[in-house]
Amino acid sequence: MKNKNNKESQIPSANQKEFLRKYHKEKNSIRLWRSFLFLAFLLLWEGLSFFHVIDSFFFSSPLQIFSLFFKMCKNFEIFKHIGITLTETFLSFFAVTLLSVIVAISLFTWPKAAKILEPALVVLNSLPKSALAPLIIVWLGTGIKTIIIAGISVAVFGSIINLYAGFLQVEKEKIKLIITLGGGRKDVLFKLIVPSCTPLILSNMKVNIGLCLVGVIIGEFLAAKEGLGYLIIYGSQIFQLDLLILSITILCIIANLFYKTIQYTENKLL
Amino acid sequence: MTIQVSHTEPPILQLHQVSFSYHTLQGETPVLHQVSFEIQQGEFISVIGPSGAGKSTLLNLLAGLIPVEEGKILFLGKDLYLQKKEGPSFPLGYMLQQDQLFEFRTIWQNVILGLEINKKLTSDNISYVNSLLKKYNLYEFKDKKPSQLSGGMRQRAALIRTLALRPKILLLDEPFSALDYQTRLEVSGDIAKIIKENNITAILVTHNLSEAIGLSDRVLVLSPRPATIIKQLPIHLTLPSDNLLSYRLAPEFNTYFNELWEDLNHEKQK
Repeated sequence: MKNKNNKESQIPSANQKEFLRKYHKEKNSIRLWRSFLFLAFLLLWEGLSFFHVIDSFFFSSPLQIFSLFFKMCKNFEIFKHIGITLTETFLSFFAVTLLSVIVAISLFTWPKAAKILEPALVVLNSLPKSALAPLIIVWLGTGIKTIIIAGISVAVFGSIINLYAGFLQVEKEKIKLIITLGGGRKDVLFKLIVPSCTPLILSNMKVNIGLCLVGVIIGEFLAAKEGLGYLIIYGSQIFQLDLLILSITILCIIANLFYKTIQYTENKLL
Repeated sequence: MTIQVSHTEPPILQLHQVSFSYHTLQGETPVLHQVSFEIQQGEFISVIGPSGAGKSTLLNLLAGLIPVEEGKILFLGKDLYLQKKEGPSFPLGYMLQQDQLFEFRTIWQNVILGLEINKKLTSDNISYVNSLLKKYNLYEFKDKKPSQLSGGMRQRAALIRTLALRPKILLLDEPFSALDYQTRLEVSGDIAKIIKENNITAILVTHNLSEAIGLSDRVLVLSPRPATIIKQLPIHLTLPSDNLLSYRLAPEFNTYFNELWEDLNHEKQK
């Protein structure tokens, strides 16, 4: 930012300096408010539970959660659960990305197949995918395979439909151009559709990583002995609220990191 | 703007009684009805007609994008559509209404798109494209993105992309219609000059009468749908200067203009 400004005018004018000063002041004040509110929230929570205004059995408290976190860090238990959830999510995310790009390209290449399969895709996409999880458990049993399939099933149909619809939106005149230059469907696909849809594929990935996480957590609720989803269900069943809230907090951080990573890649590539 | 054409030579392109209809569930729409004409090597002809008369259909047929229903289109005596199906060395280049440059490619990558598709990126062809870029003042911009160029430059780049494949005949589908008036004058002059210099046979489809008269050796007038050719008007202008844009000052210009204007209006009232 600063470099760009300097390029245009070597010495920033007094007004420009004033603008920058105000800009940074505003930014810092927002940061300060955020930290303050967060700390105040934690303090209030801790205080209310310390003075027994709220029942710490139901609401736990920040200190309890922190101490549990450090305990679980010490015996590496928390990392095992995080690692399992992450592995499952990544595997289903890669499968979804690969599958949906391949299927969307195939549908574009064979329009007749797309027409035949359209109702099936629409029905599968509008189905609440968590309804499929019990079926997958019956077929595949409990375990990592089931959970990965659950993660895939949540994201894959919508992803295919999104990509295929995006492919179809590429301007007809640009396709005509490729054909008038002597190209075939393959050239249309690889010289036009795929490169011009890279932003679409990336934004699709951004949605998919979140959906895969949802699918994996649903899977872990129903069919796991490890993972953050399992910890949440386990914590609620034995009323260990610090475990439950800790798991949810870690999930929040993971989801946010996923999103930020893909956003960073997006900015790098585009 | 006379061109010495020895009419003993066989025509480069012949249309024999070409008819074409569009078919939908609602029924049949005849678009072209027994259209016949011939073009000699090096000739520049324009096709004018009321909008919706089937000019675009005619171009799509000539570009080999759709097969003729009745009649024949022959390039140097051989069926044109079969040649398109047979292979990459199609003799007709097509310039679309908009430049259709791909924003994810640089100007250089755009102008060699046709060569890339046809796997003709030989050093010979590359130096030919480089010479075209230099000649038409685009060489310094070859690493720029299309959005960094003016409308006129983009249109010239689009023309070079078509010329790179060394077409025998150039089809121009109102390639100036997307430009503002001033750029339009400049670019149509430029492009006409490039076509003359490279001795390319050209077919321009337009609804701009002045452009048709100023740029071509012969103007074909289409009737409203189903279109037939109602007039072929040879144009001989005595240009007051070398500048191709001076055609409006030629003494014959108004006579031609009025004649074509009357033909079009007469047909409309029928």
